[in-house]
Order: sequence, then C-alpha cells, then structure tokens
Amino acid sequence: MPEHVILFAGPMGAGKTTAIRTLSEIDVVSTEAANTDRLQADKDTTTVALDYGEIAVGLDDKIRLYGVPGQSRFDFMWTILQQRAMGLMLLIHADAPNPVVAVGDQLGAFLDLANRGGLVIGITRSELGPRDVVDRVRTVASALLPERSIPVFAVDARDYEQMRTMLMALISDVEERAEMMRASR
Amino acid sequence: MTGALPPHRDPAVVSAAVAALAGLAAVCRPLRAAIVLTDDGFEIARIPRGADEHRRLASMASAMQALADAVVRELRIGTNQHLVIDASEGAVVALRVGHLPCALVAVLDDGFVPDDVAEIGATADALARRLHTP
Ligand SMILES: Nc1nc2c(ncn2[C@@H]2O[C@H](COP(=O)(O)OP(=O)(O)O)[C@@H](O)[C@H]2O)c(=O)[nH]1
Ligand SMILES: [Mg+2]
Repeated sequence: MPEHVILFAGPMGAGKTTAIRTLSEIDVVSTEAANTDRLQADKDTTTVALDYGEIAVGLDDKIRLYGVPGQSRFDFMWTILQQRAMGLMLLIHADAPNPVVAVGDQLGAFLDLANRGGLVIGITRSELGPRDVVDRVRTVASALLPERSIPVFAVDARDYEQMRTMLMALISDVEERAEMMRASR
Repeated sequence: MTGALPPHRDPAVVSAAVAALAGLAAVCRPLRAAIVLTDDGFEIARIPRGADEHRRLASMASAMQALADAVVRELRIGTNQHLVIDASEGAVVALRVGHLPCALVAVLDDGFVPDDVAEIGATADALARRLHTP
C-alpha cells in the first residue's frame, strides 16, 4: 500500500481534532488557540491551522492524517491541505444546528477532493442529536453525489476501534477510486 | 478585557485596539497595514480600514502564529516571542499582546529598520497593559 494522505474536514466541534488524536501513533502536531467565541461551539480551544498525525503501515509506509480548522474564515487552509489529500473523512456532529445543511456545505467546499479521492462520512455525537441524522445525511449525500455509494457511519471520535474501522473503509475507497482513475485513463 | 463578551465584540477592547493602531501608524513610517486579532483569528481592529487585500490577515496571522508556536514546542526552545516573514518587497511581523489571547500583526514596506520592529513591540506591550487594567 502506498503512502496515503487523509484529510479530516467538518464544522467546528465535529470531532476532527479528537479523531486525529484518537488514531495517531505519534504525538499530534496541533494548533489550538483559545476559543473566544463560545456561541459558535462551547469548547475551550479551537484549531486555527491544522492537526497532524501519523499511522505506520508495514515497515516504511504511513498514513498521514491532516485535520482542517472548521471555521470558514480559515478556508485558505482548506485549499492548501486539500491539494495533497487522497481521501476525505467528513465528520459532522449530530447535535449541529443543521447537520444536513452542513453536509452539503462541506461537500461543496471539498468537492475537488471528493470527486477525485475516497470519501466517507462520520456522524459524531450521535447520542446528543436527533435519532434520524444518519439516515438523513445518507439521503442527502447520495442526492449530491448520485454516482457514488458513500459510506455513512455513526462514530464516537474518542473511540479507537470505531475510528479505525471508518479509516480502513476510507482507505479501501481511496484505493478503489485510484484504480478507477487509472482504468479510465 | 472582562471576558463577558468575545474581545472582537467588546467595545472597550475594540476602542483600545483602534487607538493603539493609530498610535503605531503615527510613529512607524513603513507601516502599510496592521491588525489586532484574537488568537483564534477574529479581527478586533485594523488599519487601513476596508482594504480588501488585508481581509484575511487576521485568520492567516492566527494560523501562522499557531504553526510557529508548534515549531517552538516541537524543538523545545522556550516560547515564541515574535514571528517575522521577510519578503522581497516587505515584511510581516506578528507578536502576542502580553498574556492575552490576542496578537498584533504589522505589514511593513521594504526598508524598515529595527526601530520600527521595536515600535510594534512597544505598541503591543502598551495595549496589553491597557487591557489588563480596564
Ligand atoms: N458525547 C460525545 N462527544 C464526542 C463524540 N465525538 C467527539 N466528541 C467530543 O466532541 C468534541 C469535539 O471537539 P473537537 O475534536 O475539538 O472538534 P473539531 O472542532 O472538529 O476539531 C470533543 O470534546 C470530543 O470529546 C461522541 O460521539 N459523543
Ligand atoms: Mg479542531
């Protein structure tokens, strides 16, 4: 398996930073700043540049995990980080004001990556939101990208096994996608 | 800074920052633009007002500052005091406002001298004192 670069995207408070900390085998590089706007999300810190973690695969390959800042004023980082990525792990928290709209917004912002690379969607904090979020997100995702079958998981970003399962699903989608791109050339 | 309102919406913080930037503009001739921002990238005050190319300066400065802090942490070389980007036709200087979750960023024309950087530091220090003692 060649080296993979995976991008974690999603709104502020979705669990991107938590997920990378859960998965990474190295101390993550993080860029947290004091959160001065508690109305947006009630947490102490917020990511302002990136999160970075790594997982070793075999002897000399690795999966690189990059997380973006969730807030759109940092969208220049979305552009920078999207360029090197091959797979998109889109996280949406079920207790977001409107998770379905958030999925549309995020897929729009990362459409370039979603089109050329792998894609999975994780619904976090699902015990804190309405019960039908996963189903509604699945419906809107397949309406937005009808030619794809997009896996949608309910996950806890703090749970290693759940995040690992989701990451592996993404890696196989990345490889399948790369195979398709090669075949169509 | 009382903490009741986010700094960028707190009129007392905003007016102190506006005054600090006006003072800096008066003493620092190569100053092209300057901004006071929260660590998480909200603009508190900016000069010149409304210039479109500086619209994203607060969020970019916040990201830059956090990456510089991450490098300093990784290398265990103490704390980040200020950050300079020296470009062929100008420079950017970023530094924290005391121990507050705020920073001051200045964009300088080429040909600035060390005294200009010192003025930027003095402005940040004065603003920190002012915000600590309302
Ligand atoms: N209750 C609950 N909390 C979660 C779950 N997943 C993540 N979290 C919490 O939600 C918060 C997400 O914050 P963070 O990782 O900073 O989000 P980011 O803005 O996307 O980086 C953290 O406090 C996590 O511990 C979940 O499934 N259930
Ligand atoms: Mg984060």
